[in-house]
Amino acid sequence: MEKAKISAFQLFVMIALFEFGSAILIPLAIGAKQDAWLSIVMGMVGGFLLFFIYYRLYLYYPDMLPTGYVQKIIGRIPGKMLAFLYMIYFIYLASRDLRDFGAMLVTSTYPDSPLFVVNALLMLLVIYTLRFGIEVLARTGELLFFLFLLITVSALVLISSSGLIDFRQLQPVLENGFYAVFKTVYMETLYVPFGEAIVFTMIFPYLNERKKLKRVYISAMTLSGLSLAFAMIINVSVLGVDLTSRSQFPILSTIQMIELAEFLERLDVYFLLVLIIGIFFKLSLYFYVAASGIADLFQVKEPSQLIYPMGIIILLSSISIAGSYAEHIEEGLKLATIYVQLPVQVVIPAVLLIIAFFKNKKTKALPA
Amino acid sequence: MKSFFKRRKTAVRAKQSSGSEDLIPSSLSANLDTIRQKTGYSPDIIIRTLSIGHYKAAVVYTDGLIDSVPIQESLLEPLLKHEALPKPLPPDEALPIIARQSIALGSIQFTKKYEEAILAVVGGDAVLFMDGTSTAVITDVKGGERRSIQEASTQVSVRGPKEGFTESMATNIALIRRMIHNPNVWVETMKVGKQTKTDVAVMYINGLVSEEVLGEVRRRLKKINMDGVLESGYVEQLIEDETFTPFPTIINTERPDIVTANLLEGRVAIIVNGTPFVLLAPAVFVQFFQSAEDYYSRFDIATAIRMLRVLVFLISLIGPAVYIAATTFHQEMIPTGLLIIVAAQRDNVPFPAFVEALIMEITFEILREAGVRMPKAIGSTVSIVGALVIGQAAVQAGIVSPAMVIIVSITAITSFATPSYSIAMSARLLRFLFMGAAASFGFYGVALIFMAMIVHLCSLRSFGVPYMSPLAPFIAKNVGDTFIRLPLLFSKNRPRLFGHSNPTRSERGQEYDHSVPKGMVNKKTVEGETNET
Amino acid sequence: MKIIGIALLISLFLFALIFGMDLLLKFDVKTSIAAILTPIQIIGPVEIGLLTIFIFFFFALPLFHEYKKKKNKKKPAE
Repeated sequence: MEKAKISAFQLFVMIALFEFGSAILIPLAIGAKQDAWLSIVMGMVGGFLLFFIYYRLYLYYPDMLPTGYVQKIIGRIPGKMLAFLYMIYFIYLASRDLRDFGAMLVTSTYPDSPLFVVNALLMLLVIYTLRFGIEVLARTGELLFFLFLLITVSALVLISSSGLIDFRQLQPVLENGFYAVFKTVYMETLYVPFGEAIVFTMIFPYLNERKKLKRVYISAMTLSGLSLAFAMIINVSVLGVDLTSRSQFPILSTIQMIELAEFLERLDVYFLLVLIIGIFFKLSLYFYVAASGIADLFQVKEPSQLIYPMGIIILLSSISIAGSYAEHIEEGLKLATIYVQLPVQVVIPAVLLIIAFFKNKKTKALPA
Repeated sequence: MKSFFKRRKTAVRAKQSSGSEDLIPSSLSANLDTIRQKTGYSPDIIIRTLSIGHYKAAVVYTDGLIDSVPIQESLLEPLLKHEALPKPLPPDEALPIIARQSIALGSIQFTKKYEEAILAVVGGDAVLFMDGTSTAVITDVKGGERRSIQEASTQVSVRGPKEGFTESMATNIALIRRMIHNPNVWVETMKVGKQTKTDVAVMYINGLVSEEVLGEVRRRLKKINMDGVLESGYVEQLIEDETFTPFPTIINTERPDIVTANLLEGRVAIIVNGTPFVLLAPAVFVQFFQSAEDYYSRFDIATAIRMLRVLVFLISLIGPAVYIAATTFHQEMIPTGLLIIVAAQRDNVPFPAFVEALIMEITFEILREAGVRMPKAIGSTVSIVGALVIGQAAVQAGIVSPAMVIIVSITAITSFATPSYSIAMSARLLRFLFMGAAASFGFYGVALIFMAMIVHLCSLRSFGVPYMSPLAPFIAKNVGDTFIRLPLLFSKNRPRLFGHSNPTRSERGQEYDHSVPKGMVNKKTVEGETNET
Repeated sequence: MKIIGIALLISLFLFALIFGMDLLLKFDVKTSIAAILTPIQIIGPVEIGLLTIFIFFFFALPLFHEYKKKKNKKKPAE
């Protein structure tokens, strides 16, 4: 574990930026058609439930990284193996996000640039950042968060003042019944992006004010969940369900629609900065958590030594991960959820909690 | 090999330190001979022999470093007029009595050490030696020609005190003391530089300063191991946290009011003799966008101007880069009307935008450097050459486009509009990095370099204090005085990270007593009564 | 050496995961392997250069670090 402390506000910012990260890029929960926003809100509520599993586990072992307490719960060797698989999972998600971003950039703005170079540049930035450790990442997050807010709010103002929004596109509510919405929650939004916040279990021990954790987490989740839902409402009401589901990056299509005073048009390039911030953050957090976890498992004395080699691995796998973008999205939203996300984010933590509960029955956990 | 050098070094040091233990020989003639010999018979070392009563004595000083009036009136005259002591005493006992009775100077000091005495001579003191004793009297008669107090040339302000620091450390300390009449303003001095033995003073307000920062400053100053310290820039470079960064992590200023304000925030001032630039540590990034005048003018204007400065800094960083990125990669984001104009201009230009920008930026840097180093008389020539040849002729010849000239001019002006010279210099350098990134990857490149810059800024620390505080880490109490300035009423907290020994500036806030109503205090002048006049 | 070992172990597991995913997507084994090898197959000369540099540092950095550590260890003993 790094010898670092982060403040409650820094954790808040990191969670919010993380949740935004890639989720704002992709056509999230579009399976629910115009009720996608509802699906996102419900996913958020599901995310709270998941949080309470992680939170209880954290309360049993507040000073330990999950890689450490897993070994306490299910024994040293199985614990190490499980933790290692979790780290592989985080690296996998990091590669996926890098691919998401690179593909977005290549298709939208740099059709002539090779994906590899685009990804490599971002990866170099992340490697540079992570060498400084979690504290610098947290501080960077604070600064970028303000920039992020500034740009998103101004984008919102521009969209609404250019008269593109047509709320009738959102009707009828619950056209395909409640089950269709619930299905996208169960299949998609619960895991991406809300369940993905399981990485923060590796960050919790750094928090300097333990008591604020619950409040910070819930408020950050609410902020990002509602904003994502709101972004989806805007997307659908500007583009319509059909266009949103066909667009690879609905948010960019929406921004491109802005045309104001015959001067402000094609603003997607400005908006690029927001997307870079979001992805940078998500990628950095996955990567950092994976690196610190691996360092903990293998007892590497200087975790910063791991950053460069792991960065190259993530870079390479971000290219190999799928032959085409369509395949990539298919894999991410359909396959990965059932076979990877569900067990990793829900089942295993729940089982761990049950075991931990029985193991710690005698010793009292910190009051919740 | 390395260890061999090390051993030799320590041996030399040991020799030197044993040399400084040498005592002053009691024979005056032997003494003076050594002094002549040690100073290489330099004619500016003045040795005036005199007799005080029946004792033989000599006053030694360096010509030009002393003030000749006190040396004549307060030292030589009374000594020569000194009446013989009632009973003959051995010189050892007589010297203190004579010194007490006849030296009409504020500061005198006795020493037996030869090294100390000779350092005092070359440092601008006059030293009195007497035959038969190994004690010498060091008298402070420092003076000589110096620049008088003038208006600060680098940080000019419309409103606020006009005095600027001078090259004399004593004057500078006095200028600060004139602003804070407080016994808690403490000064510590030390000598830095093996050969130059430059005086360095550390100044702080006891009780407000953070002990950790102060300790760190002391520790780092003591670790300086250099033969010469000629300007505070040497000290700055040797004690800063991070050498490999384009950003300054220590502030320098020429203005006593800025130093005073920073002392009150709990910072430490480092004053180096021989330069008007005083260092302040720890520094944070936002400080480089603040000028003393912000606090003297009203808060709304100050806030607006600070915002403007941030904008200026950003333009000076990424102005040309945005132009390059927009014209080479993202033509679609330029409004059509503007695009036609720019494209028509660029049509004749034989270079890509990046080369064009590079030519113009480098030309400008050359002009600027020439303008700074040149004799003033030739200045106007350069500006004519710059304006006509480079601006107009280059455009007419079709080498650069007019739009590029505009961009370069704007960045040129912005780099002068930043209140701190040192932060403008960092922007000047980084601009080229941004231009390169824009030329190779458009906005994506610019955004990445920008983020890398932010990460770098967040990773910096100045004497342990995060450079981007109070923005990152976000400290709500201190945000009132960053890129915005809230009314003084609200800024009642010292910076939390290093002003924590005494966190609040005043109980109620920096304002007047609220028990007095702020409206019309005079009851007779309530609204209505004076309204008709 | 340890760092390189860990990195190789990670990549082994990671590519196994990617491979497994491809299989689950109902590709056959051959296509899945081909999909993993794409980064080396489809790239141009610039990227090959970049990739070579990256891979060089992949091995060089940990080794250099180890060398430096050894040197540092020797020093105080002297």
